[in-house]
Amino acid sequence: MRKGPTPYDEAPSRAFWSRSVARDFDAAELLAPDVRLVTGKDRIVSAGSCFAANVVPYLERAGLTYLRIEAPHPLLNAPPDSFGYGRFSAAYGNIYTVRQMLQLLRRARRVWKPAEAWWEDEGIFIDPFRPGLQFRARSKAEFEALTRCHLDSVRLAFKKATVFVFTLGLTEAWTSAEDGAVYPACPGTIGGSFDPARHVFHNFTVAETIADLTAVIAELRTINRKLRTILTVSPVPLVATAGGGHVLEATVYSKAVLRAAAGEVARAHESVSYFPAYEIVTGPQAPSDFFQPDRRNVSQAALDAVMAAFLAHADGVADSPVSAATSSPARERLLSQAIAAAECEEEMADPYARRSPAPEEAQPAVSRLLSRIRRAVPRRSGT
Amino acid sequence: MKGQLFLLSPCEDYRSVRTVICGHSHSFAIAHGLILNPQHPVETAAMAAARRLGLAGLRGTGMDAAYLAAMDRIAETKNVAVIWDGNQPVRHFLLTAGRHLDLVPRDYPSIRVLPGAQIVPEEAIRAHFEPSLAGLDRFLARHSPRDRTRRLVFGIHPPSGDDDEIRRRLAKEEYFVQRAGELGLDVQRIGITPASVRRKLWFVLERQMREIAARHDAPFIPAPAAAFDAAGFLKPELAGNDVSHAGFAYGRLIVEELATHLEG
Repeated sequence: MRKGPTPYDEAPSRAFWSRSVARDFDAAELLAPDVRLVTGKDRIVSAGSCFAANVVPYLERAGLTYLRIEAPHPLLNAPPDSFGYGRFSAAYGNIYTVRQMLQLLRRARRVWKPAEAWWEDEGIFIDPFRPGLQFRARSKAEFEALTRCHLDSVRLAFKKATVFVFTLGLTEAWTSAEDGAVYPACPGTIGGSFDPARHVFHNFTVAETIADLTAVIAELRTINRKLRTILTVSPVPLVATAGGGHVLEATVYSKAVLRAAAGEVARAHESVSYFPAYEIVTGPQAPSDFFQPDRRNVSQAALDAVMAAFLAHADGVADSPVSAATSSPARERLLSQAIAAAECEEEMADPYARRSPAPEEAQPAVSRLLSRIRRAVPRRSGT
Repeated sequence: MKGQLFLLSPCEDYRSVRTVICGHSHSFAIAHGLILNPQHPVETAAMAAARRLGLAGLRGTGMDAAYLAAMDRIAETKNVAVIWDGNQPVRHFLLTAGRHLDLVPRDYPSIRVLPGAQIVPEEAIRAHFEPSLAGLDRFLARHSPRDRTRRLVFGIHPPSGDDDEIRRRLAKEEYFVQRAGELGLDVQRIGITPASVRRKLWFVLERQMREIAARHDAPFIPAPAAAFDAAGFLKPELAGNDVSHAGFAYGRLIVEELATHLEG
């Protein structure tokens, strides 16, 4: 027997599972109808894991302005870079953890400098924070000049931007025992060499992630007070865990921490909002084909769904910006594997992947397709 | 003579020729350093050395298949001193429509860079130049040093440091007019890469040429010290008539340098 009205009585359909998920699911309704994430006047920068890079072509095709501050010099005819350094607003590559982002911003503002700033290997200077760079420095002086130029570009990108889309990928990281510097990949997997005395594993807690994310927002406001931030969580599971448990359990921990932290920080800051890409791809309502058969790589259909929802909350975008998949499932899978093999440092955590980046039968196709991948819009997969 | 191959030499006949200078357009000035020319109609030390050492310059068709085939034939019986391209820094990097690039090459005497320039890795510049040097590598591999024949590789002259002079000459050269158009600008108004960067690009290319020569045990003949001004650029009096090339006076200098190598 009801004694009076309850808060649920006036709630919209989207508040009820039976009416908004069990049937008539519309990913765009995950945000309130009046939410406007971006407009045609915005200048967008982004960072995050491979998944974050995959959404950039959608933004550009929708007519939104994606800032590219550190593109290859137009006079230079050199092979395309690997590991995604050309896929973001500046050449920072994949940013997997919030601490990594925080340190990048502090380095860009020249308020923090890592103790282990480079790895030297037979006269070649490797950037521990961008270990997969195609072209490495041949002297310390060159390394320092290149790093200065890169960090200036990072700062400029955030200074010019009006919106920052930050996709949170992982909580597990390899760090410097000396000063806590976070590396994008375990030392020794792409560059440098692993030293258990100097390189330690860390799995960030929710409290640490919230603190780091809050510090990131503070750093961003120091650079650009008007910058708005959109947080998302990558739906792509971990390649491997170094935590000693099962990779599935580690994935759920990682994503839960990131999701909780993103929500809390978004609620605490007016300039920060959360976009539920993670929920769209991994929620119980998601079709099984949102993941590829390996249940890790995200499909074209999933990216389309995520970006359709995102762009439904954008003003001033081009018509029909989200493409229907046009290629065959087999080609999709090969493209996806090739991208992962070529551009995702996290993939390097899997020794099998390092030795054998793609199935034997896919190898010739991978090498043929790699050159076409650069032109493939949108990117198909990644972390 | 146009379209036909011929040798420029003070030697009386082909049998007395022992070393042939050949290669891309820069070999023109060097080959003309071997003979009398209207600009300098007096016997020079270079000419005397050329006669003494049996030097000749292969000229005629430009660097086409026939020229390359002739180089191969000559290399079977005579020393060959090769100059390979060398215009890449000018051809690809002189005109610029946007932000300047700069670099910090290993072993370069200065680490200063232009304020606001995009710093590019030396390795990226090397990767840019590499395809254009592959032909030199292949030629030297085909003609490894034999009993009596030697392979020598010329370095390239330093770039001009005179921006005003370069700008005056640009408009007269079809290639640069067209290139400026490709970059969306008029050749009169387009930016040119600053001299400090031009010199670094030259330095990197020269290093790559040295390394290829060393890989094939071919002596490397760098631009003579006398060709450099105090700032490390080509002395104005040694410049040719266009943006890219050195003149006959430079040719004579490098012939003397070649003679030193052959006699050393």
